Amino acid sequence: MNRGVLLLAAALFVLMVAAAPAALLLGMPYLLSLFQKLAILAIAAAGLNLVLGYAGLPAFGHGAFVGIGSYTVGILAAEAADGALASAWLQFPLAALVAGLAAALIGAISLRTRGVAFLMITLAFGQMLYFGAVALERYGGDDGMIIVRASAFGDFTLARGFGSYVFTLAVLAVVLLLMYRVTRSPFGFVLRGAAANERRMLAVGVAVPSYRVGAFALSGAICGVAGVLWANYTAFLSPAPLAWTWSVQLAVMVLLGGAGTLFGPLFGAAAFVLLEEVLTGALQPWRLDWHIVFGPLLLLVVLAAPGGIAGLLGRPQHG
Amino acid sequence: MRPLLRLEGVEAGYGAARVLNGVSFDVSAGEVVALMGRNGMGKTTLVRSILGLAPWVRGRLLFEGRELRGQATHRIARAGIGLVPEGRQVFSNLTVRENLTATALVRGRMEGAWTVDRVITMLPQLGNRLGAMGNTLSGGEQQMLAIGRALMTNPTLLILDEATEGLSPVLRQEIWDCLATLQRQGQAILLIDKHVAAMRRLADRIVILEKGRVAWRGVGEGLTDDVLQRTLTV
Repeated sequence: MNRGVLLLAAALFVLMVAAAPAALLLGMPYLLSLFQKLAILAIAAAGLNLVLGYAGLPAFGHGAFVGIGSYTVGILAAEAADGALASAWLQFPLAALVAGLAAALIGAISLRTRGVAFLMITLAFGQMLYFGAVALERYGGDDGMIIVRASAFGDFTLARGFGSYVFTLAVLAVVLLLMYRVTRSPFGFVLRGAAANERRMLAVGVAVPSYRVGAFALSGAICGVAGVLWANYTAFLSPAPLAWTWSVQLAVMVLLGGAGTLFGPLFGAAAFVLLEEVLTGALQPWRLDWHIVFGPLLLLVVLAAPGGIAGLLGRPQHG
Repeated sequence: MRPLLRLEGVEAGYGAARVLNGVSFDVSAGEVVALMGRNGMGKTTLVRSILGLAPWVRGRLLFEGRELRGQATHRIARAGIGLVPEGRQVFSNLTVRENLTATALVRGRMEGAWTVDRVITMLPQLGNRLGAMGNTLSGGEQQMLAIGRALMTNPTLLILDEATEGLSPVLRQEIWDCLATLQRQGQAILLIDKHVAAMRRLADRIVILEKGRVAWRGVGEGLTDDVLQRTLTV
């Protein structure tokens, strides 16, 4: 891993850690909110990066797995008003399991196709789940509903605040560590090698489709965890994360930060969230949407720096 | 020697173009068989057919007595066929060590299995380049890596398709030495190459393809100038 990437990653982590006491001391809870959103999106993008970046599969339905995580929290909260099902000990593994299984199933079907067909099928599955969520009138349907009880580890609640923020940073660190280990294991070598030359990997005896389904499952599970955090962050259950726009935004974060690199999703999420913040404020006098500037900027990055921010910081390489 | 690989009447091609027109020969355990022929005579297509990468029309592929025709490519490789492909095709986005490790567990843990250390003992050039990305290697290093990667799958039969193509004489000799060592260790090898003299020295038997058929087979001493003129000279 090159020095520039490490320095930027370290700087971002320091900034995010420092945001917690700064927000308390300066009385600016908004800082926590901003960086917590960044961290949750970075977790989801890190999950997608395993499939899109390392395995080289253009999956555009991962928002659905974030949504599954959110609905796990919302449904369990709604079904037990006394909070019996609001245990984070239950919700995190359950969300990861359901999202992972859904991802494995979608992956197993989608992986029978290639290229644009693969992209369209993953997108279609995402939309199917989105409309499935919209149809859940009991849980707010299209309008969504307020999550009455935040997830909690005993007395430690994940409702938005200092504790929840620190917990989210810890989850981000664990997910990045997990990605580091996975992509540097034989499993990761197979995913990366097959992205470069699938036929060759098959010809040396590796059952590539099985590895890719495994990657889909792990990637979906991580997005499911991000969904649990998102539901607690927004305290609102909405089908929005399942919509294709979320999936595309996650893909944009991965590509912007550097697909197939460890810290790329973090860089991409940071660039996305911070640019949204800055540009929204800067363009307010003209009543312009921030995407008007972000779109051309993204185009410039894709054309001039295909390796994303991580690629700009040094020789493109994995890690 | 018991037959390890048996090809019976292999007919294969691409679409309407038939490249192989009934190829039959065996490779026995511990034997080195050289497959020769002019360009376009079907050598690479035969290798691709063995690995399930080219469509078959007719024929049988028996490996250790088991029919493998129609099986998925990775299952054929897992049965014990290791390929060093034409053009090397190392994984450019993996380091040398990662290239080797990626395929290490393909056939599970076996007694006397190849390890990264054992590959480096056999191919010492790779020892200093373990952290280098595949796309930064020289042609010779890539070839060594392609051989090492195939060995890491612990193949019962090793197939090399033009393994010395484009290499300097020194590097070519290193490849021949490596293959001779493998031969002494009892490794069965099916070898495709253009260097007749080296093939003659190394191979236990030679098979020559012409227009998708076996035109000649025998031992190196039998490969007379007349046979060479008739089957290999352009």
